[in-house]
Amino acid sequence: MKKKAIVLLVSLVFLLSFVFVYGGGSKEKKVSIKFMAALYSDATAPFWNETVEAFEKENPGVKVEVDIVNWDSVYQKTTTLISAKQEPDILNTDTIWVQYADKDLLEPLDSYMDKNFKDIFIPALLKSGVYKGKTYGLPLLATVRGLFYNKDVLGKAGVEPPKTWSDFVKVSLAINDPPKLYAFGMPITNFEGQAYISYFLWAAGGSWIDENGKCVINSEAGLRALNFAKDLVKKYKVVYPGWSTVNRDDTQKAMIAGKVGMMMTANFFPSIAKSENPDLKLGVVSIPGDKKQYNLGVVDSLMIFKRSQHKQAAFDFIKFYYNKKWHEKFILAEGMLPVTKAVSNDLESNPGLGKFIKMLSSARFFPAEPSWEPMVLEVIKAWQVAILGQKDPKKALDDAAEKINSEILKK
Amino acid sequence: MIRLRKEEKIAYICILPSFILISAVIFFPVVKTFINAFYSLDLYGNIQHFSGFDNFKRLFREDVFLRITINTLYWTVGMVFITVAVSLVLALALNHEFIGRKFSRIILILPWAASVMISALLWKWLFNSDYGMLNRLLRELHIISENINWLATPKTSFPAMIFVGVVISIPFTTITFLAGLQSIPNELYEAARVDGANKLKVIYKITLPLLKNVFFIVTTLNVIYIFNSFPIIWVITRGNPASQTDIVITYLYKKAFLYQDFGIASALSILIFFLLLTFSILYAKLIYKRGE
Repeated sequence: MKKKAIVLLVSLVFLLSFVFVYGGGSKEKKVSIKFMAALYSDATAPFWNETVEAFEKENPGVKVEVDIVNWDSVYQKTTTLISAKQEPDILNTDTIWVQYADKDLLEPLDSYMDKNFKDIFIPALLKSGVYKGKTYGLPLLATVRGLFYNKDVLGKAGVEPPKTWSDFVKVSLAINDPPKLYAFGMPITNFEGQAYISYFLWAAGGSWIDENGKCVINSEAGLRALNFAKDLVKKYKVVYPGWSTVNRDDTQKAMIAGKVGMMMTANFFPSIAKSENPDLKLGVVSIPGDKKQYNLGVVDSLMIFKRSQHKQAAFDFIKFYYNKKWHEKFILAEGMLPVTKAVSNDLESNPGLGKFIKMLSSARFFPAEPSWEPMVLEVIKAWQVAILGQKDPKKALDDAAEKINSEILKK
Repeated sequence: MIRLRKEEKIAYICILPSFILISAVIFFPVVKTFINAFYSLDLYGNIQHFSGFDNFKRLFREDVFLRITINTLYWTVGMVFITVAVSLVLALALNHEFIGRKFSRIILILPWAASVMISALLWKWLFNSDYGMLNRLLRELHIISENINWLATPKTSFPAMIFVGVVISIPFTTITFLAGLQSIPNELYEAARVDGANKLKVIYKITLPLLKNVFFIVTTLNVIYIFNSFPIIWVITRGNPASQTDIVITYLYKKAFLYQDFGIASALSILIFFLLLTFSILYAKLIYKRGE
């Protein structure tokens, strides 16, 4: 009998514990805002903790809960939170914000910003957060992509870094020495395939979407870009193998190990390379084009969800971040590029960042398109099968454009 | 009303908490997925309007649908077959008395303790063409003269991942076989020996027939685990290039969380659900028939 009583009691405790888990919760009077930040490096968490501490000291009524999420799972976590109507107040993410803005999930920030505040930003970067005439995303940081090359390798072959596509082929052939060294790292996979495709596409004078909002990846320029990439793999055989399975970070590792002579990647690459292989001498130039060189800029943004209960407090926190002290600290800790004029001017003569800050001023950005991510995945797939020789390039691009225009962009 | 005996009442009360928990985390999502499969959904999985079989039609029209189906078959059948065969041999060996048997058993169980994610990550580096241990080993043994990029094309990456899966599945399978072997009474072996049966005959006539039930359980469980095994492919190739190393489960995840097409993902989930359900029922029937 006693045993049974114990069993009953235990089950009861279990049952009740569920009730308490659901019924619980704090009853503090403080305003609490949730901030989902993306993980850039080991420095990210300490930086935000310090910033939050300073902010809370100045604003005793506000509590900021920071949730730092790995880039790998930022989209998935945000999607899940949105479907559960549990969005954070502030989110730090990349171009996917356009999709959220398009679905009316984000708060337009124009009414929160006065002219003085707007003026602190580099205009082009502030503009990158505008969709349909309203500002939804404020730039957290920027990066710029360039063509990095191994100075020793190019020097030994006696060639200059390439400016045009024909230069590029000549240089590649001059330094190519497989399997010891592959001239070019070109990862076209889910992780950064869109950047690599843009390098070739824009260099050929093409674009992802035309002014009527139609996908024109299969234009004449688009086809030329794909054929150029395909030639690098199949005809000239200068591309680091595994380009269709490895990601950008794996390719960077190969370049650091001296297996790859050139690759396009972001301005933070030299600092990674330095810590792993101090002997490697890296040079950087603008991305070679069919006719002219250019740079690709990428902006990560901060935004406030419409469902947030404390929009003003959330905005105050964002504003706090743009204090010169904090923004500069973050930029230096992460090796990224600044978005405010003040920090930009300050770092212009910085030996590591100065050159990139200049490159950023003439950079081109990804289009603000709500269906950007699914569209990019379709195009990456088309490029992969075409370069692998499993499908005719023209047909692969036509099929992808047809699918994107009929199914993805309509959504 | 059904009258319950006292013990029964207590039994129901005892399972109530787990029942509630399981309903919340398993039954509810399953039902929700069923509903979702027949609706048009927005990018975040919220229901828009009824769309009948539209999601299923779109799924069958996917250009990689055939490819991932073949891959999944190859993945499941290949891996289960190799795993079961190797594990059976290992278990038979470990069931014998020999010096170092305990040590061998520990070695066998140890990998089980590592999470699949971590094992997969380790293997990814072992397979790496430039600094992977596998290439280095093969080079030092003079089997290859140049590094092979194992993960570069589906032709080598897919078998490589099956190999990883086999290595990961072996501990569980072998231990289960071992447990089965140890439940076979010693008298049977003694009797056979007295009657003059040789070792091979003992295995064929006694061990294997008595291991049949264990064999069925191991196969069913492995089929379900392996069919649903996500981390190996996700970590090593992510289904690249162009979904040529995707299996249904990785493709399902991509459709839901990368393409944000929850309609197709739900439809695919339903198909998988019925496939595995049918498989489990068939197997359960077989086991019970033979178990009598």
